[in-house]
Amino acid sequence: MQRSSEPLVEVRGLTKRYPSFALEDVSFSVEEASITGFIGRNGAGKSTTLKCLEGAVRPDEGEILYFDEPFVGNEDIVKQQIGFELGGATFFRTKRVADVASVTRRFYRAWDDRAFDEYCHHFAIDQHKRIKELSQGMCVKFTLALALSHHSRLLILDEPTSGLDPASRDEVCDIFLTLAREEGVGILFSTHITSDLDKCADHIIYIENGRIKGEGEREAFKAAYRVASLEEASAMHARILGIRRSVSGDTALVPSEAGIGEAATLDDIMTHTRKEAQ
Amino acid sequence: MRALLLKEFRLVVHPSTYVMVALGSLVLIPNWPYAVILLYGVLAAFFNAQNAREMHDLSFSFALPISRADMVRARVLVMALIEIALVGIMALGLVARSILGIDEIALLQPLVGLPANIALLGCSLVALGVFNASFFPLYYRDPSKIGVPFLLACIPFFVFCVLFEAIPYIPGEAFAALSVLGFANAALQIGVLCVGAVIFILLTLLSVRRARSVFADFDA
Repeated sequence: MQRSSEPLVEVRGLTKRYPSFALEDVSFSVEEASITGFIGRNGAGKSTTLKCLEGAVRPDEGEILYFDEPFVGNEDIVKQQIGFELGGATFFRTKRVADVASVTRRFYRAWDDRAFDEYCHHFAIDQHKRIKELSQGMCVKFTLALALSHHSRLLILDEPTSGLDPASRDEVCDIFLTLAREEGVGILFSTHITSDLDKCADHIIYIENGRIKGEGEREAFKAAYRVASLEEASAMHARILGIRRSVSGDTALVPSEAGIGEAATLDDIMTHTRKEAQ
Repeated sequence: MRALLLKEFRLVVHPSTYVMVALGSLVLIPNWPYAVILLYGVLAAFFNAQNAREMHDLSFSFALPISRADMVRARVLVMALIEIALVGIMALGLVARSILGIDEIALLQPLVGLPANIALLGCSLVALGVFNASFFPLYYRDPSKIGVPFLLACIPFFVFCVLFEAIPYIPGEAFAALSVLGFANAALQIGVLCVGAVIFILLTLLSVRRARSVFADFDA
């Protein structure tokens, strides 16, 4: 599937201030048929950003455009084409899968009962089970089935693979790849499991302390950084972006232009604490 | 809105609500402070709000293609329908009292507050409207906090209940005319019912408007 240049969602200058935390000037976009990994440490602002995208949190400033339409004032219209999964299937846990689905279907003009049945069959979800009887992996698959059965053009998911075993995580990533490559769905998902990003993400958005610190194609994003020993980085007067202490020797995250060290992994980029914070 | 109402009834409304509504039949007790029935009615709002919180309704609802205003409208409308059903059961109880001769038994006993008559229904609607107008704007400031909004909303509700239960003890012909059993002084009593229904609708609409306004600023 060819990627359209028109973004499915465009976020411009999103700002939300709390007494102890602020999301500042967050801007990014997600395109059709692309998988974007939204990474950052706990408390970096991933969930707040995604909640703003869902409308559960009101931004103080900034603009969100879905399909080139402003989100504010059009929530009920644009959400017809978006599947959200923020926080797993923690809702209505005492209700049966079929009951929640039969309520959900009435909200979507494009709901496809056959597609829901097929997804449930594919994911081995027993519709007669209560949600609380589903495993965590099954809950993720159930919310995916709900999100996909109204033919979403965009999926926004908060840590969908968190708490899953490696096989289930791999399966969820396979589903993402199929959706993006074969159905042109755009996917934005937050995670701190970098192996998932290596498997399926085309793009990376890295957020730290409420600000976007890096964004780009996955390999280009990784190529912008290198990891060297702290001694070498200091000796070469390289710009040190972050430091990680370990018994085998401290390492420094440096820009690739420094020309030292080894290629950085996503884990390296996330785990090197900012130098200013030292 | 139909989809939202269905969602509320199938997923959010606590099963105890239907028991609360059935308690409208307590109007069959010959003499009783019938305002207690209304307390059972408003408890439905508490239990439903609690059920919505425990079931993480907000995380489900925010993902749906609906506006915040629709979320508020549906929740308040469902409560209004529950309250109307409660008053409807009370009305059926009034008819049953008359058929079963309970009104005659009541005449032999001392009066306890406003007797079971049509005016009681009108006063009940106003009391429930007062509750709606107080509870929902407080509740929608943060739907995860239910206890304090409920207790605060109960204050004006109780005050109005005490006022209408005191009607038979207030001197005056009009008050005396409202303090008769069953369907006597029908024109006056139906007038009170109609006025009560209008006030209930206005207060409930006011409740939706204020609740929408506060919920617009809520962050989940």
